[in-house]
Amino acid sequence: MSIPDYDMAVQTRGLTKVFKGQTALQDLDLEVPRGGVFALLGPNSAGKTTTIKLLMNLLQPTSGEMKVLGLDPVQQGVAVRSRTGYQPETGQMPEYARVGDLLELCRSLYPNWNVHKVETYRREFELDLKSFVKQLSKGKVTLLALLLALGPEPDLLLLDEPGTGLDPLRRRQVIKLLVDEVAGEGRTIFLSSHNLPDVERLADRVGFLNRGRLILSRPLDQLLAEEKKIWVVCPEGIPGDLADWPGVRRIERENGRTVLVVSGQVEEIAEKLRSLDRVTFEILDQTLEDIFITYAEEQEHATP
Amino acid sequence: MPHRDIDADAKERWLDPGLLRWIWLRYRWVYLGCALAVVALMTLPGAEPSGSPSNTFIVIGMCAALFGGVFVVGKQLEDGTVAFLTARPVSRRQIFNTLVLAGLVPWLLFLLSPAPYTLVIALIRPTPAPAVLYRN
Repeated sequence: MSIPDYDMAVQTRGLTKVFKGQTALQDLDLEVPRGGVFALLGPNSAGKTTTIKLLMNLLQPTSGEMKVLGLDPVQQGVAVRSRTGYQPETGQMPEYARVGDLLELCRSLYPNWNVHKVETYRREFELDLKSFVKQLSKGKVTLLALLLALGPEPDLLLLDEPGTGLDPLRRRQVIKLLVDEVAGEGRTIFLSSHNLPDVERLADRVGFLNRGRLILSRPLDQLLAEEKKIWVVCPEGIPGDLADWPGVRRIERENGRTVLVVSGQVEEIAEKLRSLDRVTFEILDQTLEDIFITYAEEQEHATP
Repeated sequence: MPHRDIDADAKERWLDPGLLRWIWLRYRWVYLGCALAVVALMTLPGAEPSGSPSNTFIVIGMCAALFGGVFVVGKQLEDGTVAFLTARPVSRRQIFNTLVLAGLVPWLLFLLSPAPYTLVIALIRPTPAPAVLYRN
C-alpha cells in the first residue's frame, strides 16, 4: 500500500526497524501536518532517535514506508536532506574541525544557506569561528548543531533533544528562536525531548512512543483537555464498578481521597458522580509530564 | 534571498567539489608534511644524484604515502566527520569518493615527487659547468 500524497511534512506507514533481532521501532503509523511543532515523547530506548534517523535516511528501514515533505527518504535521500535541518542528539561533529570551517562547508553543501541569519545566531550564541569543536562545551555543541540545522532555511527541522546541555536561560532563548522560526517562516519542527515543560511551551501536537510503538498522537490542546484527574471524596465508599466506567484509566488513593485518572468523557464521569449521594469531587488539569508518566507507567505494567 | 532549484542541486554528482576542497584544506598540514618528507628523503645523503629515486626511497616513500593516506581517511572515520557528512545533502557515494581522493593525495605527492626533487637538487647541488669550458 503506497502512502497517499497529502500535504504532510512527515508520513509513515508500518515503519519498522530491527537491529540484530532487537525491534527498535514497530509498525509506526504517523502523520505530521506541515507547519507547527510536533514533539515525539517517550522514555529512553523508546525509538525516538531511530525514528528521526530513519526520516533522515541515516538508517534503512527493515519494513514499511515513509514520506518526508512528499519525498521518499530511501530513494531521494539527498533531496530530503537538502530541505531538512537536522540536529543530532550527540552533536556528531568532527572534533578537530573549527566552527568557521564547518559553517563554510555547510554553506557550500546546502542550496539555500542563509549566511546573514547564521552569522546573527552565531553571534547570539557566542560561538567563536576559530574554536575547535573539541574545545566547545556540551551546550555550545548543541547550539552549533542547531545553528547548522537552521542555516539551510529548511522546510522541516528534525531536532533530537534540542535542549541537551543548555542552561535554563539558553533553553528559553532556543525555544523563542524556534517559535520565531515556525511563526515567521511557516516551517515544520519535528522534535524529540525529555524536557516536558519545554515541549508544553513549544509543541502544538505530541506523540508518545514506548518500546518502539506509538501509543498516541494528538494535538496538545486536545490531549490536555481530555486527560484529567478527578479527586473524589466519598464517605460511603466508592462505587464498586468505578474502574469499569468508560474513560476511567486508573484509580489511585491519595491522602484519604480517591483520585480518578480519566481520559476523555470527563463530563460524562462528572455527571455520574453528581448523581451519587454525598459525593464531592474536583476536576484537576494535568501537566504534560503527569500524562506522560501515567502513560509510561501503564505501558511498563502492561509489558511483561 | 533567491531560492535555487533544490532538485537540480540534489541530482547526484560523482563528487562534491565543496566537500573535496574542505577535506583537502582540512588536511593541508598532513599533505605538506608528506611532501616535505618525500623531498627530504630524496635529498638525504645517499640518494641517487641522477634524479631517479633509489629502491630504498621507493619503499620508504610508498610506506609513508600509505600511512599518510590511511591517517587522513582513518581520522575522518574516527572523529565524527563521516557521521557529520552523512546527515548533509551529499550521497554516501560522494562521501566515499571524496575520502578515497583525500587518501590518495599522499600517493599522488609521492608519484609526482621527482619534480620537486629535481628542483631541490638543482638548487642545493648545482651541476658544475662542463670542463670543456675551462680548457682554453
